[in-house]
Amino acid sequence: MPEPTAATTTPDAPPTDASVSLGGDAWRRLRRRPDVIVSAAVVVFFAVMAAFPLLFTSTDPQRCIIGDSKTRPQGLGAAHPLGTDVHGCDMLAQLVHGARPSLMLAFVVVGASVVIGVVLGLLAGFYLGWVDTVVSRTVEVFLVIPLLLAALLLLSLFRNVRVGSGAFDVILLPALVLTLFGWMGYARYVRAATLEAKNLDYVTAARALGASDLRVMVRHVLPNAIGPVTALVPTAIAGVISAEAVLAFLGIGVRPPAISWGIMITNGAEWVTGGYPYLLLFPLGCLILTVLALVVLGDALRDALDPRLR
Amino acid sequence: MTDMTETLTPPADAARSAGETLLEVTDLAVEFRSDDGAVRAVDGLSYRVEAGRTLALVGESGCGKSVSSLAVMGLLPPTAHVVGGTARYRGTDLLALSPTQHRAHCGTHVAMVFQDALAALNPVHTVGYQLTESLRARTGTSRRDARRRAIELLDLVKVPNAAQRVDEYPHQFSGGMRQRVMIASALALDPDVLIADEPTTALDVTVQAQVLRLLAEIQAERQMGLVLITHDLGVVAGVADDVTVMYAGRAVEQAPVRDLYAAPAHPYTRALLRSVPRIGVAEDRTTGGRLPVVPGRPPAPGRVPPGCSFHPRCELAQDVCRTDEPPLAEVAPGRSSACHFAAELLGGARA
Repeated sequence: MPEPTAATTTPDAPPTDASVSLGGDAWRRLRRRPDVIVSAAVVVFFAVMAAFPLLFTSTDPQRCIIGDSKTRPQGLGAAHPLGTDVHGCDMLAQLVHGARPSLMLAFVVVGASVVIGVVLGLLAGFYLGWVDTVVSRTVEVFLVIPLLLAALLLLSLFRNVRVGSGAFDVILLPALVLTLFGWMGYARYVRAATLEAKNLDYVTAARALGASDLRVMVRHVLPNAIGPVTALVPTAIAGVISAEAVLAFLGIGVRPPAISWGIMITNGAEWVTGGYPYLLLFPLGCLILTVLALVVLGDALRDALDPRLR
Repeated sequence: MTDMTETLTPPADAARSAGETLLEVTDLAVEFRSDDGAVRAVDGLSYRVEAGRTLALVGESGCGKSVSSLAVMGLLPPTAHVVGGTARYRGTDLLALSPTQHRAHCGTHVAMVFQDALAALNPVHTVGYQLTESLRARTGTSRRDARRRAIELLDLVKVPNAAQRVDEYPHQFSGGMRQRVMIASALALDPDVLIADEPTTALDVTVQAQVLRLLAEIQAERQMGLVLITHDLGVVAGVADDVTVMYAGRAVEQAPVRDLYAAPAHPYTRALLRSVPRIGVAEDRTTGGRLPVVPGRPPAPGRVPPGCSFHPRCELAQDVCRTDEPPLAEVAPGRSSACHFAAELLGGARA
């Protein structure tokens, strides 16, 4: 028999909140890693750039003087610190103003794809049967349709639809197309992980205590099945930013006059061998920096949050 | 102790009086359907669990003891189906309920402890969360109360330092402690019947004894009905009140534990008892110091021989055993056996 004292005193002990201590612990772990701090700084830098472009440049990105075409970078303080592009538009202004559509598009597309993919993958893996048949076949159909072909089709469908010119409106079409063709990977990964997790004993144990399907899925299967998805997300963000450039080529990318990193990369790529590599290197550098920072952050976050890795 | 039972026992409706029948399984039959046709894993199993008593379901691997309990819990895999029989909890046939109604009984009235506690605890949730998840979901207990209750439960199963360990994760617990956590989580809703499916198989011998003693203590204190599924007759002796020995999906002998050990009424039980290692006994056996074993293997489900299913391995087998299936019949007050020669076995033991 345990001593009665143990039972009577412990309930009076000050209750510390489990989730708070987990979060605090994760924060302490993150702070100790310099790569995490650098990455966080990079992400914050670009996020601020996207939110407040005027902090970084006062030049209008659409004020292009063809006579100044392909001015080489002039350094800080000059009229064109990073030079100008083929049309004589200021590179710095374009980079800064391109951050918002690029980053927003990336986060919207990846966010929506993850939600769709995770929900469908979870349902398919959990219930199997006809749900799985429908989801799996749909995944396959979307996988075999070439992105460009489908994009052209959607373009013709939406050609006459007028969208506004707000920050979200300019990325609406590319977001739609890229989400439509971006969720399948997550669905497949989550389905596979769900199949594995749902037969484990702790799922049966939860059922033995009377847990409903929804509870089993959300509380027990999903946290154990989400791992592969977190690994995919940072690279997917890079993929979206560059895919947007391809769509821009077809005229369904970010709508002009808005500019994006993807468009700048596509345009700049032509001039790399022509003696103007900076036209490509600046936007590409921004993209690579963002993606690397996100990869490091994603890794660190997983290490800090997954109790199994402690 | 009184303090603890007060905090842990919910109000009057869950009161159990000793000897009351809590769970009664009658003629349970479970089939697995495969491409080769249906295979009977459990065939006409009956048992009764009373408040304050422990029933041991004993048998070799594949004899249907786990499947029968999964059927009672409504946790059978999709390929398995209950094809007959009832499992009445205080008069309500659980097997006739809809899945949602059945689920409402699981955890609150009938709960289960699994074999491998590491696999049965979710690695991404704290122990405290898992202990009280059912409580919070069913009764809307607040986080703070749930945590307090989790600490009480850990105290109940004698996990030291409960107030700190409640926030730890399963992998930070040792095997025995994990099994204690499993038991505590099954007790969270104060069930009337606890089904423990080989709760000590994954543990080493000293820890086994501790966990079994704990189960027995909790069971006695709360007047629960306990179903202990095991293949180890050594485990049964110290803990169980009644024993049901299963072979090839059927009960072959049912008896109070003392009677069974004193004089087994079925050759299978007798063979099993002989194969339990005992200190100081093995030397003087005629087998030259080797532990006797039950020869052969249990029949594969679906290939059960005609007549008595045990006859190919039985040392008493006669012609009648190969053709006629012996029914489970009462051979002495309070005990029954499915053997043509049960009376001789009992008589021989007495003589």
